[in-house]
Amino acid sequence: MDGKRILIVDDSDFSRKTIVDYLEGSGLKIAAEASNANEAIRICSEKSIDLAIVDVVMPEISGIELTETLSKMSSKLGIIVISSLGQENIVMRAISAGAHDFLQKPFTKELLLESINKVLTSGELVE
Amino acid sequence: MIESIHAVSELNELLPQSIQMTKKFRLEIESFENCISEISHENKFLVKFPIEGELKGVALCYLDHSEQESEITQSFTEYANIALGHFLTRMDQSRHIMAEIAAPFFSYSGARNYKYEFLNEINRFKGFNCIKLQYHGKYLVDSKGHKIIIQIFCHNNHQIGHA
Repeated sequence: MDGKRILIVDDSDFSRKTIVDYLEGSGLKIAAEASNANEAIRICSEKSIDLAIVDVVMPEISGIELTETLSKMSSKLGIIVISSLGQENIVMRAISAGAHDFLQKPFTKELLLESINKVLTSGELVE
Repeated sequence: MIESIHAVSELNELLPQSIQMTKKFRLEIESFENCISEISHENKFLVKFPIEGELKGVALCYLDHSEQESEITQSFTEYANIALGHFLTRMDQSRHIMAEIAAPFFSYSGARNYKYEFLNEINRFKGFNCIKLQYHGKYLVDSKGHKIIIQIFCHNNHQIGHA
């Protein structure tokens, strides 16, 4: 996973900071952070990103709509959707939109790293 | 459907009793009421989450800390988001009622604004079979406790007498 570039998309500054803290020392590179979907789309069109961590509840464009857009933009991009909501319906919508994994908040550092490792090494991402 | 919600004794358990993401912050729920009361304290931070889906309404989350854009208010917003997310997830699991929260709105004003928010919600829900829940607790920051109140108002579009 060393050197893989991560994008964190969450309108909560606190949530983004918590994820950054979790990833510190893991060998992963935080390439960028975005507080909304439009910012995330712009970043993904300008930079090379390996994996996006996307929150569901965001203003204007939801994380599920963003996941659909990002997965159409690049089949090489891994996407982990995160949310405080854990209903089966939401998990299924996220997966249908193109998410490779789903984590309900709050999650531990270990769970996040396990999910990232699973997504980046699963072979689902088209090179 | 609304009657079945009112009938359940486990309403107080829908909101998690404790949430901890980092060593510094912890949210604890201490008591529950199946009704709501007006918030009268000054200098509170309010974060308001719309509730959408099979339940429609709002959750008002108050914190007795008013410093704008501070780590405390930002982290409390995320903790409230998590508490309500789990509330709605458990509502789906136990009652098969699907609802979501939307992006929050904030207010750092005093009691006058909260009274307006409160009365506005009460008026908006007149004529509906409503769920009105109020949770009291504390938000611990480095072991220092701040009082919190979480009020949930929602209905499923069924008018009184037609649920």
